[in-house]
Amino acid sequence: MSEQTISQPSTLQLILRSNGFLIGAGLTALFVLAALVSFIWTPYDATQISIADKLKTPSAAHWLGTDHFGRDMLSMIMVGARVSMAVAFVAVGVGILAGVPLGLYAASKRGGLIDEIIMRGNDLIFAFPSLLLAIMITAVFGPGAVNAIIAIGIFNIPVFARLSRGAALSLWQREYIMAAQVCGKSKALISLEHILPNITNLLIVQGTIQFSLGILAEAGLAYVGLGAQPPLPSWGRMLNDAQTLISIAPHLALVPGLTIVLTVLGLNLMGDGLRDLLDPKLRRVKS
Amino acid sequence: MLRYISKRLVSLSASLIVASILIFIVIEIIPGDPAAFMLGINADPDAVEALREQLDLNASLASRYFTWVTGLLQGEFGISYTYRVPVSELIADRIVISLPLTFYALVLSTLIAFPAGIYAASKRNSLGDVSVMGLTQLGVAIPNFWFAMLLVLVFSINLRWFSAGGFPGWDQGFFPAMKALTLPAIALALPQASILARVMRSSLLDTLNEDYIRTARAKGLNRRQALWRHALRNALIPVLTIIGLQFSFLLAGGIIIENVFYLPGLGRLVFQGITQRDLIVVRSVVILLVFAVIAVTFLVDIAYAIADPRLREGSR
Amino acid sequence: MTLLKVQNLNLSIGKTPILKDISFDLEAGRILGIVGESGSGKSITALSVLQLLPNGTTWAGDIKFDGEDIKALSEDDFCDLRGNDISMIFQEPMTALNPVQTIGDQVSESIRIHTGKSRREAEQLARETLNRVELPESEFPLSRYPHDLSGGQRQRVMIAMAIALQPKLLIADEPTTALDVTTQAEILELLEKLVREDGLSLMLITHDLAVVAQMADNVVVMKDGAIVEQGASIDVFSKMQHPYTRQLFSASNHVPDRAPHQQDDNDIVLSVEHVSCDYKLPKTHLFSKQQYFRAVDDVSFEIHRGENVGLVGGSGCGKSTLSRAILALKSLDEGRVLINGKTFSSSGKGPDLSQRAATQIVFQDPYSSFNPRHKVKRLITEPFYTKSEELTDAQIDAAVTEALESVGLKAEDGDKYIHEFSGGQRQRIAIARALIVKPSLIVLDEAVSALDVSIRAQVLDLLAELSDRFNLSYLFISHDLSVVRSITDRVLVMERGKIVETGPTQDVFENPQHAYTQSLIRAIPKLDIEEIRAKEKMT
Repeated sequence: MSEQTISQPSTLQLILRSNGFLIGAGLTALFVLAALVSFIWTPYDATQISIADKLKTPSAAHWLGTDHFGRDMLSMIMVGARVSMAVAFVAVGVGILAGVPLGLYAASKRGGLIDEIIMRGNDLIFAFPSLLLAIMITAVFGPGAVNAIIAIGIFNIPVFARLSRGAALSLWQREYIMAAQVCGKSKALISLEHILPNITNLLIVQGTIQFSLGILAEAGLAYVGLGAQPPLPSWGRMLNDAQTLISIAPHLALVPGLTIVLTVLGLNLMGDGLRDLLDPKLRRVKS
Repeated sequence: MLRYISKRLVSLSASLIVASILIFIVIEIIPGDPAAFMLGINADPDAVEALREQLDLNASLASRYFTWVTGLLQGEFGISYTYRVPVSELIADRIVISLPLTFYALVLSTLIAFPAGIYAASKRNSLGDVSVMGLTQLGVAIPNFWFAMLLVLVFSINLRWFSAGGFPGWDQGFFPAMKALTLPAIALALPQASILARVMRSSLLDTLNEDYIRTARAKGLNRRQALWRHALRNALIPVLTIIGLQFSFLLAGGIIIENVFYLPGLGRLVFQGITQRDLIVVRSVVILLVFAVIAVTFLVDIAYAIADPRLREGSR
Repeated sequence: MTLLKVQNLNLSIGKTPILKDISFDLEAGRILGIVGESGSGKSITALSVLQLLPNGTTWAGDIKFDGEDIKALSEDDFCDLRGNDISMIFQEPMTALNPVQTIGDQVSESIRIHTGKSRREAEQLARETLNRVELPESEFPLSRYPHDLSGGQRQRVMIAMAIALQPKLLIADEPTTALDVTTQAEILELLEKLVREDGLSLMLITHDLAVVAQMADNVVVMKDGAIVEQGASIDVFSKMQHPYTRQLFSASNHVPDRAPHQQDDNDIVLSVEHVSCDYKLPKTHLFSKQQYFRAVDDVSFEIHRGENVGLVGGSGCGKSTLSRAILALKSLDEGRVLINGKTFSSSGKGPDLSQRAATQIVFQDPYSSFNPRHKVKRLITEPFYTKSEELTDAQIDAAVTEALESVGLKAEDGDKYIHEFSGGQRQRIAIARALIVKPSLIVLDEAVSALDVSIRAQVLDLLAELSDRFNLSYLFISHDLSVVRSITDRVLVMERGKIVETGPTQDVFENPQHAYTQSLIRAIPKLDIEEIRAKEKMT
């Protein structure tokens, strides 16, 4: 029982913490909604070029202004949200679907050859920053959103494999897992029935974080031209377009940039909030 | 210690070999005929044949891989198809920008993150802690290339303290060159520093909960002494991992940032390689960066062993 | 002379009151035992003397150390006091030392922080102190790190740190709870010797009445944050005026009622034949030959129907590995295990799943024994997985009711989650889980070790009753020899992977043959009023 174990979070922190979760969830919901609404309605056609309206600052007609081709920024942001979210979401899905079974399998064969191969494979992927991977894929297949998904998704696999392996390894030491073995259950069944449900919280929290990292990575790839291709609008490429015009039309850079910041911030706040809500260690402190 | 190092060396060399095979497969096998791919659809068959000859594509796969790797070991990356010069020369020109930029950013990130993380952990739950954590939350969310654009807008266009881009070359003196790298390094470093500061704080808070901190306090050390003498070194162990990972992020991030500041580094080289379908350039830069990441992983492993005696002896 | 005087100490953490009106004195040069079950507030009492309290703690009352009111001391004054005049050692030696500093640095740090001594002088004193706690230079140079020391050796380093500056008061919070019985005896002996040699006062906090009875001059008995009884050990233990003290005493010496075991020599439940188990050792280098550590070495024994057999030995003796081998959780490297006369597992062959149900297990930790996400009903019916035939819902419900009721719980408890139960109740649920498939043998792996003495007594009663009622056999694994003595018919003593002695429990305890058994039994702290009286007369 050392000094910090029972220390209660200050009121200031509790408020910030719960508010953080609400703000995060609100921001996330807003951008998800924007992406979904964009399928049926946007203020203007996001690809409609109208040179007469170019470089308008925000106004009642164009809430977020227009770009150098006179396209409506709000519409582009909404359609861009669709691309960003889809890429990040699928990439996280790839990471979870491939990484979690690998991690659980490695943990159930702890110390074995297969465990070793899976973990070394993970190390190897960590040696390829996702951007390098995207560069290689693009060099061969040409740019596109699918490449971005593959590049970010592959990088997510070891993240989830390591996380689930580590958590599963400590669960395998639990006595209820041994009790299940005494009942004759196979390692696969135990992984499914006892381990997976007990690491779901961790996976949700990490999933939120990887989702936000995915959005950042997608924006980076799109910025250098390795992501979704024109005419489909994307946040990263909007920033690329804005770069040469930044001194005369700063809103071209500010709008998509702030959009990315708010989306990522929202996801991170939500992830932290979820961690606090789901982590029994912290909950015990609060009660 | 020696045993530990040699073990890590073997395992990392294995990683490097596998990585080189992967790169070889992706670049040399997947596109079909690399020569035809590089020259485009309308290429003259004679030109394709000439390029095949030059690339040694008529040899067997194994011997091509072997030739490539032995070349790499001697610093020979091949001849760039578009530039018609050895890729090693191209890389040598660019790496003197990319590598210093990465290290500059790494140093900045560490210099910002350590004090911030230690301060936040030692003043846990205070207004200062909450503010630092709020700022890092923001820092984590900012895309580095957008931050770079904002820096250009403020410090180059409005304040005119720095030039908006370009690189004078090291022959113009150390300080002008470093000055040209400063904005890019800050843009790269701040988001990473935010992550590092958060890791530093939580790792330090974890160690401050350990039993041996209570032991130290029972010995008569005050909070500060317990933190500096006992918690910090233990807390550094997970932080080292993150620093190692950050190197690879910074290296990759540098490729993008170079675009914002028009720095003629490896990033520009590789993007030109992609647009011109110069697979030899792409392949060389990628293997070089992977090598750099693996080398830094090795350094981190050694730092681990220095920080943690349990690893050094390799037992248990 | 009174060294420490605590008067009307009231303490709360946040809004929760922890200590109520605590008053006691500690004379210079004496040993004060503070005894109580978990949650009694004994550790917090000690920490309040050192003022190392959790954040959010408030307290009122008077604590006078060496005539000085500690309320008047600033935090800086306290830092001067801690480790210099008052030292403390803790329960968990495995985590109480800094893993990245040498033992020499850690011991000499206590010295350097309080005295102006140079590094050399401090190291010299550290060396002398380590010698005093019987860690000689030849084996334990100052440059050793904690990670390759055993628990007992680490606790000695802790003691060296605490006594290096010859404090007036030493506080020991459960200093031997995490240690083997023989190591415990050595550490207690060392503490007693140092106390007598240096004339320091010792405040010994423990849950173990026997340890207090053996060591302390004065005793304070605590329950729920208050003192229920205190006085000279001899008075407290011979008179036992408070019912709680009596209850603690009888629970500590509790022997459950059991029908005498009727042995049928042909009805053998478990037969272990020449079983050996190996563990891989870490390779010294990449291409070296794989080395093995033999954790269980050619072990053979039998358990008859209805017989309770104890398995005792120090930590690392292989008793846990043996229990896992019997349950086929670890594969055998040699030999075979038979259940009810049929081969269950043998070297190179996995378990015969049709016999899984015949052996079940109850673990030590009531908190990690259950998947927190399942209801009790699902938890205790898990062993039905071993049965090939499908059961109807009605059959399952009936089995759940029977199992829960036979361990003293209600059928409705099946619909609750595990976190709604206390540690003792959880251990009952663990027994119900083992019982539900009507096994022939239950392995009890330190099954009562984590429980407070009064709960432990109840669970032992339950186990004894179930064994009689269902003619169940137990393999009772424990480091606590007095518990093994109270509930088993026969005992196996294990040392370094081998069974070194076996025989009827009473015979082995009264007349141990093997040297290791003798040392084990000699080390058991005794809770015997006659002996306390005799000791009192001597001093």
